[in-house]
Amino acid sequence: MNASTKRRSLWLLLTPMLLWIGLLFVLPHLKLFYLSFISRRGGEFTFANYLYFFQSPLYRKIFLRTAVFSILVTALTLLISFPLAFIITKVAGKRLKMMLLLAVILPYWVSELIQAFTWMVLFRESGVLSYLLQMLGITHHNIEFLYHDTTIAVGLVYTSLLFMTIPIMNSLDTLDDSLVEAAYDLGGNFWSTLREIIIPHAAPGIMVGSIMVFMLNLGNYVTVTLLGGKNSLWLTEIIYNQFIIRFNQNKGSAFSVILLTFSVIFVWIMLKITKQDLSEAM
Amino acid sequence: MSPEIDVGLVNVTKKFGNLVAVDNVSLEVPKGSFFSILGPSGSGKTTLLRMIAGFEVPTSGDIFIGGQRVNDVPPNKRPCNMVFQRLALFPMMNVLDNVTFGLRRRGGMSKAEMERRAKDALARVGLQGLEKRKINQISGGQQQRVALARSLVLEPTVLLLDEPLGSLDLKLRQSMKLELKHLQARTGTTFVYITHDQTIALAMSDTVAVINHGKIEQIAPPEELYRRPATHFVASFVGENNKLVNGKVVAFQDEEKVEVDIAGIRMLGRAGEALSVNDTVDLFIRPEMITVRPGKGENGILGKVSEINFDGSHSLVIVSLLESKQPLSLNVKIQHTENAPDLKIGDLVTLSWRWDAANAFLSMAQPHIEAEA
Amino acid sequence: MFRRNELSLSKVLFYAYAILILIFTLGPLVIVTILAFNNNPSASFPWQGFTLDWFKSSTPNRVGLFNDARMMHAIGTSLQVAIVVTLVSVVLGVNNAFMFVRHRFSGQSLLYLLMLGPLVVPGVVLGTSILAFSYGIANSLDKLLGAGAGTFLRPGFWLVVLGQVSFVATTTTLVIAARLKRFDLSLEEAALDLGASRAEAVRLITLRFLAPAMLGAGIIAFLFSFENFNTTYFLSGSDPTVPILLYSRLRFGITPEINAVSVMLMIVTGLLGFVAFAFQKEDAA
Repeated sequence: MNASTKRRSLWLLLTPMLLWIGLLFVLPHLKLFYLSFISRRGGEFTFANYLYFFQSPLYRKIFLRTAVFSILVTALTLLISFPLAFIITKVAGKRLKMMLLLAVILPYWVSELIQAFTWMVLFRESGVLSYLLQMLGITHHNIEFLYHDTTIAVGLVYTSLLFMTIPIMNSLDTLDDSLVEAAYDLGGNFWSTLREIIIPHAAPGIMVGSIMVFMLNLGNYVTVTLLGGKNSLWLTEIIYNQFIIRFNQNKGSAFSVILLTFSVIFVWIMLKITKQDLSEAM
Repeated sequence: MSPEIDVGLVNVTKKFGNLVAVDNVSLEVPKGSFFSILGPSGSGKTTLLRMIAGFEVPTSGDIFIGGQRVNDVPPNKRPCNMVFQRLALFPMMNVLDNVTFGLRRRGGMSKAEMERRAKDALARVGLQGLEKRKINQISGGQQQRVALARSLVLEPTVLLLDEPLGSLDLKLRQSMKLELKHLQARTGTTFVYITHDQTIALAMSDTVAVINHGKIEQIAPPEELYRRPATHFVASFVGENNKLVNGKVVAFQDEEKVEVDIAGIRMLGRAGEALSVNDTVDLFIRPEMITVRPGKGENGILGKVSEINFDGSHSLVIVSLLESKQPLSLNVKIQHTENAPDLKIGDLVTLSWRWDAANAFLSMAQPHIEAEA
Repeated sequence: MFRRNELSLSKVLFYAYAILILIFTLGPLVIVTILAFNNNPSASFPWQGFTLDWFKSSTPNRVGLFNDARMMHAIGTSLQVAIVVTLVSVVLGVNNAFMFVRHRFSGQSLLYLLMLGPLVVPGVVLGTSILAFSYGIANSLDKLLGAGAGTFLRPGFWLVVLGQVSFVATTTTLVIAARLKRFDLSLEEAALDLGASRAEAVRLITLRFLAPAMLGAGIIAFLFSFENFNTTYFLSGSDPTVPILLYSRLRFGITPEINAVSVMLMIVTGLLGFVAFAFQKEDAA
């Protein structure tokens, strides 16, 4: 292929790509950014949309709550996923391994909405858990388990499990068993081996998983609103309210930019800390 | 261009940016011959072959196939076909579909006729009854044959082979080597074979072109290449050799026969290139061309056996020379024949060789020029 | 060393943990499946006998999913959206894969990062940005060409398709590019050498080689589209997709019919997911 045909074919491929990424990603985000600095009435440049957000004690609370809650759920997911990934890659026999893999992947194939729904079936006032407790004679009336922070956390951990477990599995897979054996051989016990050999080796997977889970939680809407109800107080919920219910695109855009900026900064810091590359991490 | 020449290259140069991959190469491949291009990796031989096939366009110079200038002919229109290094068999097709692929592109032939020709080609390479197999269901040697049949079925003027035996294990390589030679003789198709493996090139070819740094070093039949290397590079690259460095030309006994002083020992050799008295030269001596006589004898170089390595049909004996100013040793290959000398470590021996078994070339300014790049 | 046979304390702990995980992940799905066949209109326990009413009944007080016109319509909408999104995304994926794998140009790594963007940005932000952008364009089109000219860019079928393509195409690109990277370029050269034109070489050899990845990416695209909520929520109009309709109903409470819908979706998406999984495994082998 000579240089000019090569150039022509590049442009032939580049055009659809640029149309897609330009019209469906870059320009919409620029528009979002632009709208966030425009006043709803009058259309002049303003910081008011941002000031409105940060001057409102409620919104500040929601922002902090979303961030802290997401971090806590990420940590919780890590605590559950790490032993699970370890068992799948290093302990389980063939059959248990397949079963556990399926158990992690199956909920992921079912949509997030159905996942949240199954927890509603269990947790609602006339739900399965309430029924079970009455059967066992622990209580004599229906209990509402929905609309608690704990319920939200359970639902979020459930949807996050796969995204944490798979990256950790991938990094543990490359851990040579003989390294662990050598550590034991040199007099290490389980905890020192875990701390000095296994966890450092799994660190890249842990970071990738944590970033993904944190982002998913931060941007979650379905699980949070279904399990948390009207008072879930999540950042995505107020974005939706501004856009759809109040039809205020400017405030909604500003809130979206805040969410986006926060998540980009978070990912950037995490990647910097762990010296990883986004294109490699994906 | 004479009609007896199937492939002709005239002053062909190929540059990739600043890198000159092929440097002003001219060569002619006679019709029906087995022609090898031999060179180390990075010597430009693959680029040369890809230019003949049409995958690269020369920066300057002309390429002729069957008498036609083909510089501007795309690869799918050239009367030559290629057997790729990693064979490039189509994994999504079975054996038969691989072989008929080219015929189907050409068209103008019934399906039955295509299949007949494909089976014919497969039979010619000794492969029958595997037509319906997937590529990953047949062995490496069988894959070689499919790749050959896929090209041969198109009856090309020239068949280009890009080191296709390289991926086989030693035993299979040996037998495929002979088969390939027989196949070429039977079909009469011109073969252009590139390789870095000199044993393959020497065994199969009518003519070998040795290439280094994009330049042709020598074009000659294998035996001449082996016995009368034209350059320092050919002498050191083709075959095993003792290389005695930094000798001094003392005198000429005739035009070719030269006397060289190496570490105080006088040795006779053939001047591989134009030399004059006092030139600094390296002397290359084939290990199997050295005669060993036990004890101290006339007309030879005195040495002591320091090591014997048994290697089946022969032994490699390392002899330290006793009369040199610096420690110097020669490798000698002894065939295990009835009258082979019985040697032990420490034995005193006398070494000698015919004068033209040693080739003298000017020492390189940089001693390992062939290893750079 | 953790697979040795003697029963140690750590081994018991590992197994207990594995069982807890199995209960946690599969338990809720199993319970919903059981309830979908429970003849109890409260969509909960106790068990009152087996029934298929929640799937096929058509009495006024018990409408099964197959007789729920709105639900069936939503399924139809979801299928249409998913098919269009899948086709567009796979074509874009092939296009982008060729561009990233076969070409080298300045700014390529930046473009690669941009390409990953839609997967990293929260779905809600993606949805709002496309809504805001398309809203402006639709208004301009209406003004320029007369009322109604920009309707296809207002919330509805086509906007949902566009919104989903924005992030689904990233996934298909990654899946297809991964396989294209493993393609041996000499296969294409061999096809040329045997007389094929460049277009024939790509069609007969390269695209055939990519076929498993295209199919796998297609299934993933279909699932992503069919299940998407976050982005779709902002962009869908009066014709909701299944997740949107389910969501709006769930806010008013749980009915046994939703159990039935869930079971249907579990089976279909589970099967599709399994096929995609098998394809990727074969692909990796």
